[in-house]
Amino acid sequence: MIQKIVTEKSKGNQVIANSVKTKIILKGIAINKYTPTSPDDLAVMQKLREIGLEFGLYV
Amino acid sequence: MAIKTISIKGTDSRDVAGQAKEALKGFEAKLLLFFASSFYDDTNPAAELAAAFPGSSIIGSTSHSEYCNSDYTDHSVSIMAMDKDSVEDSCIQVVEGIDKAVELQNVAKSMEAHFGGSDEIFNHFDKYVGIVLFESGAKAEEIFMDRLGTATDILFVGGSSSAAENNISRVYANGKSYANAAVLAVLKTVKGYDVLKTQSACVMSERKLAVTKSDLHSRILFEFDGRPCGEVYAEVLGVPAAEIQNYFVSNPLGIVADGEIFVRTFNQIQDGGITLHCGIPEGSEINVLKIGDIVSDTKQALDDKITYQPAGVINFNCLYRTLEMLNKELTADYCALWGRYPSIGFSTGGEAYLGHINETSTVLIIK
Repeated sequence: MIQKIVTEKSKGNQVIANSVKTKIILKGIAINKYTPTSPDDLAVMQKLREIGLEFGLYV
Repeated sequence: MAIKTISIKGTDSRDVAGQAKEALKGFEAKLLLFFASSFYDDTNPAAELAAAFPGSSIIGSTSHSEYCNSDYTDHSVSIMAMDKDSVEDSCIQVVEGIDKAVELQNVAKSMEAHFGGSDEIFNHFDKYVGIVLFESGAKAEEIFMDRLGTATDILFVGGSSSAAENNISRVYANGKSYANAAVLAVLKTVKGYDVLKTQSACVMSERKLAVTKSDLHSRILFEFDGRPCGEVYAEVLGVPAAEIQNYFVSNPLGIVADGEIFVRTFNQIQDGGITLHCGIPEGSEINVLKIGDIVSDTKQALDDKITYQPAGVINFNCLYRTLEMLNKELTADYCALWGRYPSIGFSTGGEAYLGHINETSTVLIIK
């Protein structure tokens, strides 16, 4: 979900991708803690959905 | 010359504006950025500068103390004048009532529309940059920056107003003075820009602390890892919990994102928690930091980033850092670093870049 938000929001622009990652971290998601194989954390997933919606994205 | 920087001391705002007009004679400024000691607020520096420079867009802030090129001053006004060779166009908006929930999507859209829309900005991202000036009394910068960062891709750099002895804090735009407001300016630069953030702090302990209970709006931190935050902070430092206040200045907190540290400084122990100068949302992971050498860290950061002759450099430097340098008599060494460029700055009550930050210098470099 994190990668989808970063990829869709940045559309390949690396500077924007980095800034989106930082914005997500400052919103309270410690993104470095998670990998694609991390177990689902429902509260974090819900928060990411809300962040996605704020960015105009459905994740 | 694309950018001129001047420092003026006057008897009042009219005198300052008159001196600025004389100093900038023959220079067609499209945009004026000024940092005025709050000493001048009662004579409205924004209105006087607007009258003196009717063809220019003008933004500014009150300040505790000011920087201009290699000088550090107080009771003065630092002005940066940018002409069409450095800033092709600009769009200024004022958002009032920022202590309440503000809607920024339409503000961002309207600013983007001024330049042709979000696609134009995305496709020429290296040319567009924003300046944000907060009136610091509102204490709402972290929420505002979060919403602004959600509403637009434009990078905003800036800081919060500070005040001299009279304790008046204001931001200014196009002739008017505002409290409880943010001034936003989007610049279309001619040759591009760079952004620099330097905080002279490094990670003291690699141990990550999860923020499990906090009040973001009130800027109060209650728990790390499900335990009282003061107790855990003392544990990391290896000091008795009763002594933690002695370490608040030398060991602030930081959120580390992609190797960049976003500093959050302590205020005081209160209401069963610790108040900060920037709220931290629950779910964040933080590190305990240690403060380093401001002058050498700033030199390193400037030398790494500015490898060309910039048109102008704007330094939003935390007031804590200014006071620390005054205490240690480092101001002249620090200012010598900035005298290498046409530069202005002021001692800020908070810094802005992607979020709200403390004890940091955020820098906008116009190429």
